[in-house]
Amino acid sequence: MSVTARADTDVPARSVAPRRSHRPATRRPLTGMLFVAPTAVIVAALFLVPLGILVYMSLTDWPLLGSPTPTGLDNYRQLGDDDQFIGAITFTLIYTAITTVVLFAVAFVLVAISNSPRPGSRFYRTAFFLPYVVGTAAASSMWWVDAHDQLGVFNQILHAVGLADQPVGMLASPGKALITVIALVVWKFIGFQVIVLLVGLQSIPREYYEAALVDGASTWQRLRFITVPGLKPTLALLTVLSVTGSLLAFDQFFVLTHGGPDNSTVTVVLALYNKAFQSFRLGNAAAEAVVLLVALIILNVVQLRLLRSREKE
Amino acid sequence: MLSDDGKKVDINNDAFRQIFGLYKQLTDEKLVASSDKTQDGSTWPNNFLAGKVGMLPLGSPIVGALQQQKIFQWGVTPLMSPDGSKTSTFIGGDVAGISVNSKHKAQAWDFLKWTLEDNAQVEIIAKNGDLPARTDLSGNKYTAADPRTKLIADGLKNGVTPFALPFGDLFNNPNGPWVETIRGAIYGPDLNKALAAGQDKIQKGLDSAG
Repeated sequence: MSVTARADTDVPARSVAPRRSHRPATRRPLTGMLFVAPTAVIVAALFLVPLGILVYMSLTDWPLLGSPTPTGLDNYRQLGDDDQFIGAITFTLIYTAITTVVLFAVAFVLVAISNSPRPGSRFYRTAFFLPYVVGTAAASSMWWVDAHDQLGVFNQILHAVGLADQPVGMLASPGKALITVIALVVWKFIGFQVIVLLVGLQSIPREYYEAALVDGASTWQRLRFITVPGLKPTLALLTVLSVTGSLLAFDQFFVLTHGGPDNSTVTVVLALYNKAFQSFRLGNAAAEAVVLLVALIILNVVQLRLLRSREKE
Repeated sequence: MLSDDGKKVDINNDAFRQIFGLYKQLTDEKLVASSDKTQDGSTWPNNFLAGKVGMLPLGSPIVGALQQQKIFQWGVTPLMSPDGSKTSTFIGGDVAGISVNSKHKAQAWDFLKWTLEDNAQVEIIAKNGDLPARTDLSGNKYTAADPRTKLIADGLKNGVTPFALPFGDLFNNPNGPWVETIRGAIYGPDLNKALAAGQDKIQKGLDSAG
């Protein structure tokens, strides 16, 4: 998340820079620096210093107890042979793709429901948003109980409706575990997606639609030529947030599946955590973290480039 | 299953094939709770404590809880080896260590020694319904008061605590090779292959630990 936030603020800053950079900055540089100092100190202490330690850590053999020994680029070389890390990258990419698509698909339906002026749409908005205020780890613990094949409420519903007569292990096979986690993520994050889309929708001026109606535009044409272009910045923001969030997924897998069954749901961050706190190879884990950070920076730069060039059109 | 120096593992053998064969048969015939397939250890003894399953292979850790429940009568028996010649039990799992750079090695060592002294073993651990870790104290008045706890405490001497430097990483790790081997053997299509693959992976893990 922090990566996206920084990338976001970078963009406007860079585009205005050439116009304003000379006058105010040179006139009273000291005062300006003083104003920036607190933020600079916080960024340095909470981001740059830990980042430096992380990079140094990735170049050493760093056990949890005991003292580190420098090993050069060994940790990075070992990444290529690490089956769990490679498998985690594949799984995380698949998970990210599915989650992003499903989140958008469900969000569009819910937006359609809650954007209508009918009475009760406020109730829907609140209902969709409620799960979002539950912490991911807490939500995962709830789902862990709910998904239990004998005590869980999901099984009771399935039995009551008559869809199942045997206990269904919601986390018992790789496929079912993935579906359960995606369902949890949709339930948990859909509210945010819906609210942001609603705000985006309502920021499109009414007049466009009225003018289009006067010109005899069909529903489809209004959707295609007014709603979609008007929502583009919102969709871009949500895509970046959803992709970055999914690539960094950890809590739901750590609590709900523990990476199981049979290591089928190990994400990159979970693999990293295991390396650090199960295997106590902090150097290897730091190398994985550096690789992940670089990958995320590249991905966000590419995403923002693509979205910016589309906006220019 | 592990050599004394913790450098060699041996799970690809007849004893393991028979034990896992039995577990696989119990699972295939649906004699175990269906939730076992996703069991992560956190609710392991619950079905037994609730009186829903009849047998639970476990050692001393459950004794305190069993003595408090009033739903059913319970008894204990040692776990037999496949050929019936020896018995086994669950011991340990918990590890205490003193780090090399500790500034209080002597105090830490003192504390560990104290936990194993007669007084702590009997008047704190046994008195509170748990079993003493020292087999020579199995006859203490609290443990010996119940023939069942006496039997468990005496049985400890037939158990072996396997040791290996990366034990947690290879055996306790939910994403590690041991859990993968057990699941492959019990739920997978081919028990022999699962044990052979597990043997390789665990041995590789032992070899790569410094």
